[in-house]
Amino acid sequence: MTRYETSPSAPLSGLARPWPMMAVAVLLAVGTYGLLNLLGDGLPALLRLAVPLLALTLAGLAVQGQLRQTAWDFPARFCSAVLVALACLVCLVGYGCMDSDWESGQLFFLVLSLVSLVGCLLLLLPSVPRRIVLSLIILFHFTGMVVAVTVIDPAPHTAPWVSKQLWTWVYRPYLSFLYMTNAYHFYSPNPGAPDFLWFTCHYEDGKYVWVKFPDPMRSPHHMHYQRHLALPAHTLGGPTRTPLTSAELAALKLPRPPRGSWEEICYRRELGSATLTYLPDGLPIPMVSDVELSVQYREPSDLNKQLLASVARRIYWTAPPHPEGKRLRSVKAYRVTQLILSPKELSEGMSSMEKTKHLPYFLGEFDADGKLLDPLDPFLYWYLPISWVPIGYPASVPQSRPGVPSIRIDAYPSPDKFLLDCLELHAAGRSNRLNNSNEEKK
Amino acid sequence: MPSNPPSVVPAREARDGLLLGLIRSWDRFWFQPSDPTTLAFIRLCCGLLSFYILLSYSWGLLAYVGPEAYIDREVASFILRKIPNYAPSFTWSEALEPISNPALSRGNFNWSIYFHLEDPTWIVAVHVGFLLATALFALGLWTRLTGLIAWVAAMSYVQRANSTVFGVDTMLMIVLLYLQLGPSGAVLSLDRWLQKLRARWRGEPVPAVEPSASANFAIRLLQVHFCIVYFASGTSKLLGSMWWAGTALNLVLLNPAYAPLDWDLYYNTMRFLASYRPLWEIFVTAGIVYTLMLEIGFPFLVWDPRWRWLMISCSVLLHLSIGLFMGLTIFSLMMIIFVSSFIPSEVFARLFGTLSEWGDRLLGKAAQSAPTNQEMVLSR
Repeated sequence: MTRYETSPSAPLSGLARPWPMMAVAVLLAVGTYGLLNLLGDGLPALLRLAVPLLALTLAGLAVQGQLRQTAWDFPARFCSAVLVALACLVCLVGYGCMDSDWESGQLFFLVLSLVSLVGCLLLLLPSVPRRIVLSLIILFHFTGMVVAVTVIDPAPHTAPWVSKQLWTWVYRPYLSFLYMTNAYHFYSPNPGAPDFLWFTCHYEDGKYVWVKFPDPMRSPHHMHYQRHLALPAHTLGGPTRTPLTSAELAALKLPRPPRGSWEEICYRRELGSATLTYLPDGLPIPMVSDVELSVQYREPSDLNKQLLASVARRIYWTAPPHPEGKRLRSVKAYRVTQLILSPKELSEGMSSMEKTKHLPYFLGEFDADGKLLDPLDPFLYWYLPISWVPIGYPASVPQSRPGVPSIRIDAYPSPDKFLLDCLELHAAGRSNRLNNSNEEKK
Repeated sequence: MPSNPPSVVPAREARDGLLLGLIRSWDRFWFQPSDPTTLAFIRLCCGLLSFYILLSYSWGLLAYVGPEAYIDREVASFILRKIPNYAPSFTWSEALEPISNPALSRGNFNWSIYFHLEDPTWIVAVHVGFLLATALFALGLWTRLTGLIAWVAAMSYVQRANSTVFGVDTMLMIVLLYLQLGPSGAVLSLDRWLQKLRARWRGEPVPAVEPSASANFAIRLLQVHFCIVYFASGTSKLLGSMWWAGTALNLVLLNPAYAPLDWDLYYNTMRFLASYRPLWEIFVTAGIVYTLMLEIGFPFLVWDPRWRWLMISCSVLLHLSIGLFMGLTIFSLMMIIFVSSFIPSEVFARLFGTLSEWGDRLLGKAAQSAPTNQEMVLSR
């Protein structure tokens, strides 16, 4: 078996001893709290934060020194427990010193005071009860892990009711504090295609530049790339929803949503294909006939919209400067899902960078404040096809309705076709309207 | 390491009966003192990785944690304080209900110093302070204090820059938390070196590295948590049709966001495999079977000393593959550090003992003490 060297720890001296150190910690904490009550907001914020943290550090060192040196009989454990109780006091006073806006500090001190309290109790308990309490803590902790794992809905079903209740009332606060909320469902139930977040920054003179997340060429190191790869997943990762139809809205007696019913959204989309043309060649963005409409529309959740607006605002303010110093006008955002090559496609030498392997969705055009410039944009949250179309488009393709060009995205390249990249078209901006009618306003 | 000879324990447990035997096993599993070298090794590696991870935030720090970050102050504040929470009904209704408890009804229990800092100078100053503390934690100086700061630091980034976290951050927070519970600076640290130095200076014997119950406790927490991670990951894959159809790895190996498809050697190898369907199918099917068997089997087999080294080796191989095929090198390193919690302290003690001897020889020092005649125990 392993042999160990044995000798007692060197005794501490002076203020480094546990009790004097704890006394200083308590004095510092209580003194700051007293000053805070006397001076109110006159006490500098730095002092309100730094002194309790210093007191906490001293209290922690005192407890550490005591536990390292002390014997393990009851009188010694009682002394240690009193010291830990004083540390708990320091934490509570630290909690009291925090401004009402410093929730993080409040939470930190509150949890530490709870931990100290439990530590104090554990020290007072004899060996067997102490192990029982620790065992219960272990069980509580790992039950939380199991709850975090099982609280994710296993589509198409929902998560167990018990897990959801435990999560809501017990474990969400606990695990959020510890950042242990992950369910560890890596690449499951199935691996998916990656999502990217691409932006175009539009200047006053009509020029624009792309800013892409992630952009391996602009990432200084791999972690930077990985973090920028995670950004779209978190920003757009919430559940997407198909809007309610007018019949569903009526049945549920819900008010008309800002973007209207599903029929109105689809109608607006068709109208966009019929009436709007895009630079540089004045081509319209067609309808797509071989994909369900509900799959072509991916409206983010309300929270995801807020996150996206925040990212767009940052892109606006950090956009690459225009070479001639022109001001930035707006930022357009796109979600781009990159389809993964099949082994067959790989064996045929296809590149994963093929444009047709990208599925772009328009997420809105934002101003400097992250506000949507046109919440009723016909293409907002819609798929923008990238596909091979016959030369002569739009006249050469079928029409889903009179004046509405329609294409298929499963088309293969051939000499009589060209690649219609509606992402680039949309990014370049509108040229004019095919039919200058009032129909769009409807 | 365990003080009970293996042959004695089962005999006593057999006499005790099943329940008492289980209780004794539980007690021994969690509370038996053990050598802290494994924990110290994990601290050293995890500390270095934490330092690198925190350092990586330096490029565009304000984009992650500044007031105008990707998730700006306004949205972060909404998520922290105002986002409504709902609870499942206690009746048979499927609709979620608002929570009446004001502490739970709105907001989250996230915390980060960066939620409250706006001045870029202070943000940079705190960042530098966190980097320094994390470096000291890795080196093992004032380990208890710097360990706590390193945990607070890592937490401050993952909670504030929540929109840019990924698997490595999750694993980092787990390992850092458990490292706080044990004497991770007892060996392989500057604390230990200073302790020895002080003892020599005073002419006293070199202080002992005591077997520690808290070291064992922390290691057990790491081990059990690792098993939960693997089991959850493995069983959740069983819900996926692609894992059953044998096509799941296509989407992993050929994912352009992760896999190094721009690396000619990788692309050509994949293309070569794909050119021969049997080769490709056997390769990905073997990969799927390997992944599922390991992730689901590991939590059960790793406790058996006969299987332990195979399980650890297979896990390391899996994560090396993830690092190679998916480009998740830091995540893979983190997982390898995590799984090293299953390696007995004797192995590390012997390894570092040998390294130390080599170092002494290189420096021309005569061996001060005879090599310890440690018995290699590969099970716990």
